[in-house]
Amino acid sequence: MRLLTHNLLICPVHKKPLAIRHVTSVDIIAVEYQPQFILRMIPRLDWSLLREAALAVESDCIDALPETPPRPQELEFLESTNDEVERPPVMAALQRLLLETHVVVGQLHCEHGEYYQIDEGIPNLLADAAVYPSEKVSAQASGAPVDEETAIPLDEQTGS
Amino acid sequence: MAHRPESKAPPEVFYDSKEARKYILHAHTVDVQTRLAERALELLDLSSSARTTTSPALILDLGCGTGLSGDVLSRAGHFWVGMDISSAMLAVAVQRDVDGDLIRQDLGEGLPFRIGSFDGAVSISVLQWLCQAERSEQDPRTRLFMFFMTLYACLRRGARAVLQFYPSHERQIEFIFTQAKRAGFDGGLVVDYPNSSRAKKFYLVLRAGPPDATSRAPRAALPPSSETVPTIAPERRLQPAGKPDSASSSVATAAVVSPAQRYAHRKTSPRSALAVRRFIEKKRARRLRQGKSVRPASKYSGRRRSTRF
Ligand SMILES: C[S@@+](CC[C@H](N)C(=O)[O-])C[C@H]1O[C@@H](n2cnc3c(N)ncnc32)[C@H](O)[C@@H]1O
Ligand SMILES: [Zn+2]
Repeated sequence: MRLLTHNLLICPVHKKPLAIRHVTSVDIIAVEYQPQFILRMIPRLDWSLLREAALAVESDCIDALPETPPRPQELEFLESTNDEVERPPVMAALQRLLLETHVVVGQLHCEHGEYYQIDEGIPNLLADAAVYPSEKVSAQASGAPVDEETAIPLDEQTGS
Repeated sequence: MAHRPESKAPPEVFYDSKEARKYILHAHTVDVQTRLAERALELLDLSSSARTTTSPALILDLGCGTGLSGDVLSRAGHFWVGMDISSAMLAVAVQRDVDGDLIRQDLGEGLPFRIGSFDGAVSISVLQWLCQAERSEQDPRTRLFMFFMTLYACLRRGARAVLQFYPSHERQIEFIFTQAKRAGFDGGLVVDYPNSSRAKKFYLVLRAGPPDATSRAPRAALPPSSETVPTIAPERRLQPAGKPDSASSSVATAAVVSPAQRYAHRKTSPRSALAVRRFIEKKRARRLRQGKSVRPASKYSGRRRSTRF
């Protein structure tokens, strides 16, 4: 699953963004540079979720991502300099992250506690496949989101 | 599809690994599904409704199965996200190294995407499955409504969804229309080859939100002898096929007859060279990851290939 798709995805039950956790395999698959497409996607993105995802897959591209999304004026500038040889660093990072970085094995975590498994690049969002870790369920009794995992445990990554 | 498999078993049971393999080994099946997807893509009319003439579109493939319909989207240069309930079908899609992203989900539970995410959606030979109740607590009406409501939400305003399906009877068409309209869609039914019981195909063509200023109504392709076939103007408000005198439905219906000629006038996609190159780069990346040597990527990769492969 590309990080673009991940960014648009929400929890089927709670309609919340899903955090990428426990990634053990990432693929980088190069595709043709798509400046126009990327520029059209930027307004659809959850920018902070993208930054978190970049961290979760330990991508170097995080350095080229500003903390806030480029504004419309800046987009015009990016569009005018979409020459393949001198891609603006933001565009190069977005190309790599959105279109070329695939989470192959890992988990998606909803702030309401449940996990969805990603295997062979396919997140399983079926209702009966959601895992509610019992300790997290009790921590959920108060209704507060559980987020004890800002540090992402990563064993080993492939593909980069 | 002749024996209505959806009445036999739930989709995740019917589409097991044996069925999934059958799906891609039968040249005839591949051919039929590919044509249906090509026609659906044509009816999506992306160039006007999503203003994507200069860049690829992001498209949903609902009930993507082994990725036959997705391949058609890839060949046209688009990015796609496929959803299916059957792990066996998705496993074959992975084996086939499809370019789109895959998600395992039951469409009747709704589509898990943020609003305004997609430029269009296609669904090939799937909708009839959603008209079934697989478990006692399942209500097809609720499931269809959930499906259409979340589909409407995750499409860009003015974007289209084209859903080819096999209605089991006329009332099923109405039933589906009703839920789509409740969810906010407007649109109509396009019937290809209406006079042939075997070749006849139904496409629900839906539009999410107010018409885009540049969007055109689905156009009927005319048969060689057009005077013998009644062509209904898309503006006319009609009941789904077979109930021409009822005025209760506000869904526009375009009767479309499509001879082989339909494909004759089709131009090669302006993005086809690009799509080929994407495939090659993907293969290259994969071989690179496996440590095999490949020729360095050049500006000319893929340029010499023909548009179809
Ligand atoms: C006839 S196959 C078509 C596959 C693909 N669209 C093609 O044209 O090759 C129907 C597909 O719909 C899927 N399907 C049926 N009901 C579904 C549901 N409720 N949710 C998701 N997928 C479903 C099946 O698993 C199967 O892969
Ligand atoms: Zn959730």
